[in-house]
Amino acid sequence: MEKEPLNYNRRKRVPPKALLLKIGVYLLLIIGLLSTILPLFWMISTSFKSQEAIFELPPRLIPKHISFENYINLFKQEIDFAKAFQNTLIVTVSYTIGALLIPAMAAYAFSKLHFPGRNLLFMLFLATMMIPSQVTLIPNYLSINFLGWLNTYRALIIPPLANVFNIFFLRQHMLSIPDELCEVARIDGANEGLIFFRIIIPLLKPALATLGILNFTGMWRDFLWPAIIATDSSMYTLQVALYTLFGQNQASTTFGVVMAGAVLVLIPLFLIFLAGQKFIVHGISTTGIKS
Amino acid sequence: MRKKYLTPLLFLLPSLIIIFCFVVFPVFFSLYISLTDFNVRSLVNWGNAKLIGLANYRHLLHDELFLKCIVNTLYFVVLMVPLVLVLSLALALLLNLPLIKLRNFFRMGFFMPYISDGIAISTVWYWVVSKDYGILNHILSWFGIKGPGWLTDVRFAMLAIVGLVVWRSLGYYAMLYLAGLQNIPQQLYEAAEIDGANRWQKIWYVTIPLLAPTTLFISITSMIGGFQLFTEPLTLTNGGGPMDATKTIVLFIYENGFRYFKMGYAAASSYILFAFIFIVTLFQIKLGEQKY
Amino acid sequence: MRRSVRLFFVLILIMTAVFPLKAANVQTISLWAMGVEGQNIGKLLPQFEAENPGIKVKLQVIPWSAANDRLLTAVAGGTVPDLTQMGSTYMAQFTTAGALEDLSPYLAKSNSLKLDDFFPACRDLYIVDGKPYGIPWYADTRFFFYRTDILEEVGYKEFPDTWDEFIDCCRKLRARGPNQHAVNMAAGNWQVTMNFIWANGGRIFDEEGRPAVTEEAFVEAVAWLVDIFKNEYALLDTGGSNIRQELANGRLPIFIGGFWEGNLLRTETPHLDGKWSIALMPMKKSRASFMGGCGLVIFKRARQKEAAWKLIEFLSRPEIQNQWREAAGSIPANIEAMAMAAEQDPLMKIVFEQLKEGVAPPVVPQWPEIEGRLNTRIQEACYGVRTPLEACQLLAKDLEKIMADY
Repeated sequence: MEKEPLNYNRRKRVPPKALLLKIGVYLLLIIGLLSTILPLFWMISTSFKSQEAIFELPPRLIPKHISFENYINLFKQEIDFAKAFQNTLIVTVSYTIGALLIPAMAAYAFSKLHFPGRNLLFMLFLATMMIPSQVTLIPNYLSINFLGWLNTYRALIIPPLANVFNIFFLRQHMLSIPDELCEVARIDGANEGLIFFRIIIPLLKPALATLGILNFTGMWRDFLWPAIIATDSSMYTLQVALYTLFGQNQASTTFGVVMAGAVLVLIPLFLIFLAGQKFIVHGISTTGIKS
Repeated sequence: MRKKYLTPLLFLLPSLIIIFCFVVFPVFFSLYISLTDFNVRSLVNWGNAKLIGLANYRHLLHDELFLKCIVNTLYFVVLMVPLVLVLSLALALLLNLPLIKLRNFFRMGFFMPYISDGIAISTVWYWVVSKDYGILNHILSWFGIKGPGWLTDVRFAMLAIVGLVVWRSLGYYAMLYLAGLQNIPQQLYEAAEIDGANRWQKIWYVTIPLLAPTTLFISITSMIGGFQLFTEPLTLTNGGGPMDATKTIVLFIYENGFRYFKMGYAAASSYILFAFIFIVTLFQIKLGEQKY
Repeated sequence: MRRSVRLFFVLILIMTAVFPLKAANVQTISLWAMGVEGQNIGKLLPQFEAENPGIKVKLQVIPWSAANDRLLTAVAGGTVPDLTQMGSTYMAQFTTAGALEDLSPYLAKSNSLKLDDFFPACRDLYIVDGKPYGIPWYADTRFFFYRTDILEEVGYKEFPDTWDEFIDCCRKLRARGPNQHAVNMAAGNWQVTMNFIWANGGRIFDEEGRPAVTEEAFVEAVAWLVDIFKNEYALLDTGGSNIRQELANGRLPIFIGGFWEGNLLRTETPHLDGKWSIALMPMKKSRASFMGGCGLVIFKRARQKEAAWKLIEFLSRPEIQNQWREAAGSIPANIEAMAMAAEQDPLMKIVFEQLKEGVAPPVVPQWPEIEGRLNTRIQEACYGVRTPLEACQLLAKDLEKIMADY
């Protein structure tokens, strides 16, 4: 970007108006980007401030001294953050596996198997997407309670698996796989299970990766359901733990601990984001068009 | 014949069970609960809950706080959705300009907040807009503006939340628009150019109409998301303060259900939320069909 | 693979065969404690376990912000601990739910614990419908914390004794400079605002249980509070800082808080030692202050009720109560322990005086909802969104609706 004036000198043909436009556009984008990144930067910066520095006036964008006390204190809280991290990892990974496999099976039935009432059933499935999760929140809480599942991993994992969007998404992708592939395999004597695992799944890898990332990050960030189900501090997920931590330190000098917690919660998300950029872009462009 | 059903059934069974248990059954169960006075007396012994017909719904319509929650939620949606649409379209148009290099870099940068939404980012935002110690008011002070107490001033609290949601979702929606933009055939622009259209006319008469499906999608999703606003006010304004100015329908459900344990009342309010979302969706789908 | 599974089961069999024999006469009671109490109670437990070799205590610390939700879901799910600490304002909600054990039989049998050992106002917090459902653990009330040096500068060697003096003092503190104010209090916290309303003779319900918030004494006190904010003696928005810091930097040299703040002041701002003190609420019709605290309750579904009761007896002993004051910075509920404390800590005399004026909020199961409305309406008046009278009238309507619900 700093090269612009140089370019201008070299190639006199560029009309000044276009150049002005170019600079203007870049300026807008850079200002926009800076203000987008600033809160995240502010979070990181605060997390490295000592207790005294946090309430310094005027606020300092970059801490004068880097202090790790917030990160050390984070693991000395009443809430066990290491355990919460572990819980979140267990829940999110198990959920993601389930949220890929179970909908993939259903999508297979809806796209590659023929049975009477298939389209009707699929429409019924789609209709459930209209139901906001708040409506099922209370009865689901009562059911989980009735089953004695409060504060268990299964209660955190299984109800969210009712995910029709995933079925819809995978069905769309499976429809683009030619039926002949399956037919040939059937003639060769392969059963449906074999076709599903050996032919369909390998061909769906990009779609599964996209969906996997979306579901993983979505579950990692989920708050309302875990907040209701995981009331035992040993079952807290990161989001619930962070919320509780925030409630305790909201108006005190220990706010830096909250920011350290937020950094800890967000790091895995950013790592996944960086690793799976390609799939995220793919996922977003396909979901946008399909609807 | 048996085999015809057996294989599909096996493939569908896990989904069927889960969806039945955690979506279909609860929808009806919720309807039933909403017709009872399930409250703290029924906490230990569910048998204490009595059927009371539509009383919960009648009370809700006269519950000033609930009506305020509806107004707040609508206020939020009405502010947030157009902002999101305009800003994300503008961003997408900028990013789509042919002269832009590093497009991917910018796109990912703007996308960062979206990936990080949740409680974590609400706590961050709380700190960003803090009155005396926040970075936002500090930056405003460079321009001689004395920033308000964003979260403690009734006039600004909801705006602060709108700000958070727009900031967070901008990159995501801009990406959707970018995908839409890239599907617009180049010939259409060339044709418009031949007709003598300038840059703005091309955007107005070619780009925007052709992006209509994306616009419809974004407005539906952001509106539905807006109706479900919960985590942000829960964190930023301690559950809807100051003076209930940011209390939303979902916060109302949460408080009544899980703090006061008035499950019947909470279930009834969740049905009213459902009705809102349902109507909005139908309306927008109808609108979409008519025009395109 | 199969062999290792079998081996595993054999191992488990052996383990269950060996260990229960040793563990059979050890009872484990689960105890939930919140916040500061949770962090400190561990200091007392070894002594209890040493005195009762058959009992082990498993402690779970719960943050205050999660306490009520956590207890409710535990009751609903039947996964309750044997013993928990419970905030006095939640007693009615949980007894109405039918979750708590009536402690009268235990009291009748006990030879070390009598309800008369406790401060009466404090004891009554845990008696619902005439039955004791909880034993007071510690008392809680609100005082003024203030900077002795700054108040002296403006001519107050002693903390103002009446409302008029208090306002005069606030005016002088405000006059120190454009960014200088007097008192740190949250308009949206009933534990702060109600003190003044009570002191003025206001009340939330009348004798018949009807909302009484439109009575003159109530409205007048709200109007008085509104003026404090209007004159900027107190700030509606302190910008996210905490009260102890504001005390330290002198911008708000007075605040209203609970006794534990004293402990925090000593640890967080040691450089202020000797420059702060506590004072009684200034006099209007009374020096009323919020009376609360925590009691110890046993759940109906608890498994180790007898052992839990033993721990209650232990925690109620005067010398243990006094130790507890030192450990957690809380006010003992036991009268004898209070006397001991008064000898050791000069501030305790003030505490003692203030406790006598304690007013408990109404004991109704709807309290959690009522406190929400109370906070909002008084806040509305303080922010100037409504006149005090309007706010109180709306509050009366809110309360009527809440009480009619169940």
